[in-house]
Amino acid sequence: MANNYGLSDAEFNLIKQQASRRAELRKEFIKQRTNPWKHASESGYVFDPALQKFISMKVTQFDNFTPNPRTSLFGFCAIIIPMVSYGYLIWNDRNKQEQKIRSGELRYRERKFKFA
Amino acid sequence: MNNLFKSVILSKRHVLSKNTGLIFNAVRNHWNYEYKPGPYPKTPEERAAAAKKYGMSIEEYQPHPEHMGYGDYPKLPDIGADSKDPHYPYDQPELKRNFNEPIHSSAEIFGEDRYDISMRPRFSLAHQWTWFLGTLAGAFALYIYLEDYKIGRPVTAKQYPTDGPHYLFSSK
Repeated sequence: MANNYGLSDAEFNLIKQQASRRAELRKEFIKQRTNPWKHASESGYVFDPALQKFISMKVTQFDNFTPNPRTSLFGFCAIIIPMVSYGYLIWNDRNKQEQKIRSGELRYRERKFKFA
Repeated sequence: MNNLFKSVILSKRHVLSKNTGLIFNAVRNHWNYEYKPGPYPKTPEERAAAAKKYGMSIEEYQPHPEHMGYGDYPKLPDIGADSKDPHYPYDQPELKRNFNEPIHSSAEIFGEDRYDISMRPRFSLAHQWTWFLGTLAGAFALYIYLEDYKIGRPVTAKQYPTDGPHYLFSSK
C-alpha cells in the first residue's frame, strides 16, 4: 500500500502501465491524424488495428467453432425443438380439421376463414 | 502495412501528362487472415504472444473460455460507454474510445444508446419485477374474488303485452 489511493501495489502499477500505454497510443494517433500528406497513402484515414482485429474476429467466428455441449444445446433448443414442435402441432391441427371435413362434421359454411 | 501494389489509372484527359499521380489502390492491403484471432492459447508463451498482439500486459490479458469459440481474443472487463469518464479527450468521443484500444467482444450492444452493462440501477431487477407482477396479480385476484358479488340495477325484465306471466305489485 505504497500509494494514497487505497489500491494494492499490483493494481497501482497496472494503472500506471495502462496510462503510459495510452499516452503513447494517443501521441501516435495525433501524429497520424495531423499529418498533412495523409491522403497520399493508406486511403487518407488513420487505420486502427484494434478495430480491424475486432471486425475480423466477428466475421471469422465460425473458424473457431467446435461442437461442444454448449453449442449443441443451443442448436437443439433454438433450431431443432422449435421446428419439430411447431411442425408437429400444425400437422396435428390440420389433420384433425381435415378428418372433420371429410367425415362431414365441419360444415362448409362454418369453416375457418370463410370471410377470406 | 506495406503498399506493394499500386496501380495508376490514367483518365483520358491526362493521357499526355507526365505528372499523373496515384489515385487509388487497386489491391486491398489488409486481409482478414492477418487480423483474425488465433487459436486458444494453451502454453504461457502463447499467452504472452497473444497479450503482445493485442497490446495488453500479461496480467491483464485473459482469453475467453475455450468452449465459447473466440480463440485468443481477450476478454475485457464489462464496462459500457455510459460509465466512462465524459470529460477525457478521447480520440473517438462518440465511442468514448482511444486509438488502438482493444474493443470488447460484445461491443455492438454496449453503445450509449443500447444496453448498459455496468449500470447500477436504483431498484434492483428483482425489486422491480416483484412490484410489477405483484400489482398485476393483486388486481387480478381482486377481480376473481369479486366475480360472485356482482350487482346491477335492481329491476326485472320489461313486461310486454304478449303471452307470459304478468306480475303485479299487489298480492292478487
